[in-house]
Amino acid sequence: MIPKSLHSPLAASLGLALLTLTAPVRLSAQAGDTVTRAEYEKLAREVSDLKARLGQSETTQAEQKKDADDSTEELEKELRATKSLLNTVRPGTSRFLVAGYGYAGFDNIKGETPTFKSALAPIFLWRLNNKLLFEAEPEFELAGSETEVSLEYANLSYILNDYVTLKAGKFLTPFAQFPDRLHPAWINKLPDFPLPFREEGGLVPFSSVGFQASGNVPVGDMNLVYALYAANGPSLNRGTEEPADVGTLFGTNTAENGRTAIGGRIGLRPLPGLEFAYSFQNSRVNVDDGTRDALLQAVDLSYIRDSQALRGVLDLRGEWVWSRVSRATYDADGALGFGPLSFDNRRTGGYAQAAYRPSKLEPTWLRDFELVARRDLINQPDGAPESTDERRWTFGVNYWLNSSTALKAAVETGRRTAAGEDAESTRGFRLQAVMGF
Amino acid sequence: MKISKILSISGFVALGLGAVAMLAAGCQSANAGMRPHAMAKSAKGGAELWTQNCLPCHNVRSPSAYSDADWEVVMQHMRVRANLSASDTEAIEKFLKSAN
Repeated sequence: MIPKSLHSPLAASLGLALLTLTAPVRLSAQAGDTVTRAEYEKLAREVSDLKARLGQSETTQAEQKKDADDSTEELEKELRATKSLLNTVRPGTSRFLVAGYGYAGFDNIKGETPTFKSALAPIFLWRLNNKLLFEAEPEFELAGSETEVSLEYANLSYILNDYVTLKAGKFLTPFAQFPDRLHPAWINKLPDFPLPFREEGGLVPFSSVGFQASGNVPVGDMNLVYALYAANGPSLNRGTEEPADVGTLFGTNTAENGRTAIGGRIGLRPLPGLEFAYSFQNSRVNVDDGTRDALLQAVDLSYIRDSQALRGVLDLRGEWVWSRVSRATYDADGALGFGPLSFDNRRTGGYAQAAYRPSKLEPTWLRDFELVARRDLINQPDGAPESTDERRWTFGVNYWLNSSTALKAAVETGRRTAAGEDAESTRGFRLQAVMGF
Repeated sequence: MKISKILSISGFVALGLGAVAMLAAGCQSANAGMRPHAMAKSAKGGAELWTQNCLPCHNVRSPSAYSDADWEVVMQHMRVRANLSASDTEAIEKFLKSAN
């Protein structure tokens, strides 16, 4: 084998030999010297040998190049196989992902038992392909001496096209903004929920089981967002277990009343960060003497601005909910001890909230703090037994350890007014440490 | 006519119209190249859309929070959960992968 680097010397030698072979002829012509036949033949043999060696080296080089190419191709093939194998075991490349959040907290509110709290809500996401997604969120929460497990949602989404996504299963009800988008503890700016959106005693169905079509349609420079659903309708509480709950709507996991609720939210995003929407849900509910209409409506507005002029992020939002169930007579025969009772079953509630995080302010340590203020209220029907209206102010400060981990502290002060009784002041504080992952 | 009946009827009508819209849309591909609206918004870029679409609900997460493959899952989740437009989802995902 002759390395490529030797090719030039070899060619030079060959050229020198040829020069040597021909030079005497020219010299002979000039000087009259002669080259013997033996010398000439010797030189001719040497040239022939050199030619043979050059040819051999070229053949060898071609073979080596082929071997090298084969080896390189094999190495690349092995590298690709190794990368592929690595991708199958490397975290984060699977189509399956676990996200979610967890929190620990402490509530100390006047009239309630001071309580430490803890909960975990993992979210399982399985992207089957670029159109199909399965998502589920069980929630593990302490309740008394037990751990309460609930299925927040479990559904399959199919992206039909750019403007329509179909969803079937149990989903967070797209009614107003809070249940669907804002309730996770790492997103909610305060440690507790606004009064009309409490999962117990609130006005809104947090989750529904059924079918949903949703999407985002560009309209000029704006975006129209919509979500329409058909789901198991709520049942009307007739006070059989707790008179205080008479007239409230509850339970959408099963179609206990055999009727379907139709609802949805239609909103507009005219500017970046600005969104307003109207939501409704209509259904029929069973009462002792037939059925009645149950109508829920809500409006929501949010404006979020991240600007240099504000030196941070301003988050303003408000939602208002009102519900109405047609008049009915409860406990008609008096067997439950509070009837016969009939009242105008209208309920209202809402909140307005402002938050500011000076994420562009100096000194930089201030940037991780966020200030929050919220006013919320709920009004229950005056004629309902043990009806209680409530309104309160809540002020909080959050310290963000990173984008999804925060320490929250909030104080609240307010007033509860039970039907026929004097108003009772409420105050207290709540602490919460939360991590989204 | 009672408002509840109007809403009930309009809900069914809206669902029906939605079904017709789906058929009219011809089940077009969800990944059929850059759409006209995406082109109109391309001047904004994925980084700007990233903050505009995420901040209304929560703090923006660093692109390095997830791998490229995980971002695909997360963005699909956010699209169906928060009504992100197809074009914005594409642009944001592209930005997150490039900045990851």
